[in-house]
Amino acid sequence: MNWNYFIFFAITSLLFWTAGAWAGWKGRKVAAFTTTGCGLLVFSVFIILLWISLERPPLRTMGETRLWYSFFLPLAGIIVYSRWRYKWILSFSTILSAVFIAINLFKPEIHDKTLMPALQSPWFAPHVIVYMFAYALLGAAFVMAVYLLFFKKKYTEEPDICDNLVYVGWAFLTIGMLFGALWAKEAWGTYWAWDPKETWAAATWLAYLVYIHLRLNRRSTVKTALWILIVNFLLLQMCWWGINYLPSAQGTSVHTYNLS
Amino acid sequence: MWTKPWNYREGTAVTMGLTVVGLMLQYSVGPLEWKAFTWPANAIVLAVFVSFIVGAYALRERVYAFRFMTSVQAAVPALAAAALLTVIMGLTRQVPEGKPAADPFGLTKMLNFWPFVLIYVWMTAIVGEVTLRQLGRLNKRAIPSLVSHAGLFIVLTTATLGSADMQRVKMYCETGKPEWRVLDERQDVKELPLAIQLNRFSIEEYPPKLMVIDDKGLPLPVKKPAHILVDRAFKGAKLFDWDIRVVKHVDNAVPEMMAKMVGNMPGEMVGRMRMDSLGQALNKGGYISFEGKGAQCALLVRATKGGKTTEGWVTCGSYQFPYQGLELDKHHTLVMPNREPERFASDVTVFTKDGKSVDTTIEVNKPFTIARWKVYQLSYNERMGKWSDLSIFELVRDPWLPAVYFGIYMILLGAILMFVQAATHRQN
Repeated sequence: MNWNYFIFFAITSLLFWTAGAWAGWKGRKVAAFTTTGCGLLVFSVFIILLWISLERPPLRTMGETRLWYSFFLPLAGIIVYSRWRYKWILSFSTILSAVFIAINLFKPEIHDKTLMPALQSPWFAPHVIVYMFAYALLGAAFVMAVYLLFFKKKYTEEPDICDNLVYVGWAFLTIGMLFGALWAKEAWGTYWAWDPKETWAAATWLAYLVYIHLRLNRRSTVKTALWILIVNFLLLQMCWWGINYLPSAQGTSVHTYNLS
Repeated sequence: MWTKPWNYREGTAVTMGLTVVGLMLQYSVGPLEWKAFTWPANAIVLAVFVSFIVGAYALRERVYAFRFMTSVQAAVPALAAAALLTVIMGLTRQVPEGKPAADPFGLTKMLNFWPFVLIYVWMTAIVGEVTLRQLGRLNKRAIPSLVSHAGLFIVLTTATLGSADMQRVKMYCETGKPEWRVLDERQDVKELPLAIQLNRFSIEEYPPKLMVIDDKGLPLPVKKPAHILVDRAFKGAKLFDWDIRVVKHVDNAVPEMMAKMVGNMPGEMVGRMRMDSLGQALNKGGYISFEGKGAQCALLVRATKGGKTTEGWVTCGSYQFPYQGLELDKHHTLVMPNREPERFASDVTVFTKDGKSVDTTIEVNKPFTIARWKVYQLSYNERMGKWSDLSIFELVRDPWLPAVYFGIYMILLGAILMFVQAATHRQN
């Protein structure tokens, strides 16, 4: 299995997810669950086969993390759908996932088998997978914030969905960060070294805490909270891939092997 | 302003006040030196800080400001200020420890920048205060939050105050010689109550790669160099327009000319000799298998493009002989980049002062713990690569680690509880 076959798996999954989005829109629950589930299954088969053929978890390059992101978005979408039955959520998650699949198809990177010794650890997979799931949930919260601020404009219970997405997303963000800390202790001798990636992770983590605490006060305006979600998502992008291009992080971060 | 109940405006005023005080401190006493907090200073500071928080909690009914500390209106501005300063830290290139800041304000040494420190202290005080309040009025729904707050308080206090007690030293071990002396962060020599004897250092390498460089020596394509991996299953592959086949694959090889010279040389001398590029150019016999120090993989490669075939040896070279590439045409050469290590490990015997000895293997991601020191595989003689007879270890001793870990596990538990709560909490 290699990236040459990705297009077939990706298109099959996307067709399933589109069908699921359509079924969700029409209120056909069973059809929405089955088709989205099938799409996830096809996509996960590709990930597993790629994992086996690379002989290492596909989590190192940006292209590989985008792969997980395109997988987790529909997963987060179907979880939200199962709880709140929002008919548009599957369309959103499918479109976002399609964007990341398209980036991987049109901007292929060189993928090789080598993995430096520092990355060979049982912590590697949980650390990155948990983070990608957190990013997907917080991405969904961001989409929701944009939708509420610029399209729907009148809202009643929707901000509560944002809250829930952020609670779960932040919980995963925390777990990902602390797994990273425990791993760092085993690999480099310190659990926290203020490496640029760690600094941005801390900033992002605090920024989501601002949202969570602000929302505890029911008298605060929802609009401010939604804007905070948008700003926070930008911080998250900086943490995820922005630092690869950030002058202040060049040559100082142990986390910039993503591009090689 | 300052009419009760206080709101975000007052909360923001506190953080701005702390920033101003921080700036005044920065200019008057200079950046904060964390090294000043070595034992027992850190324990005293921690005790004072905790007593302040407990005292504030006890006086909360009488002093409104202490009650305000546990409000969202105090927490949000504090978190926002901490996030903002951390973002600034992320945007500025930080200066390593032991060097002065590169800017007039001290932002490039954010961890020693007073406003940053004071904002974090304020945030920590709030976290501590909230923990006590939540402990005081135990409520099932607040348990995830209580566990997270308590864990965060422990981590923030013990990790920062404990950092001054952390020792990081480097030990250089040569094969067969027990070593107990180390270099500390200031390159001063220290003696440890334990000794390490390197029995064998080894590197496993990934299969060799082949890539094309231009006449400036840059790998092509410049932005994302392409390569092929020549493992045991390799049959042939296309690299740009060349069809690459491997005719002969010698894992441990030396130039034939060198092997001939080495034939009757004393071993010690072989270890020191180095063939230069002239010798390499004169080497007509290619490479032969050699199971000794300094050997490196060599590939006899055939490259075909448009009916034209070139054949020749390619190797990345070792510390004993230079690399050799295969000229494909005037502007392109096929080369083998330096091999990438898959795993490097040291087989060692560790001796402690009480006369015990332990045999173990130390490798990256697998440190060894003995006598409250954690021993990490750090480096080796990179020039000699897999033939290195030197292994460099980093030894770390952090007496506050158990407390920090306790806090980390509490935050982890809090996050899991929060996830469970969010997942089971349905609307209304």
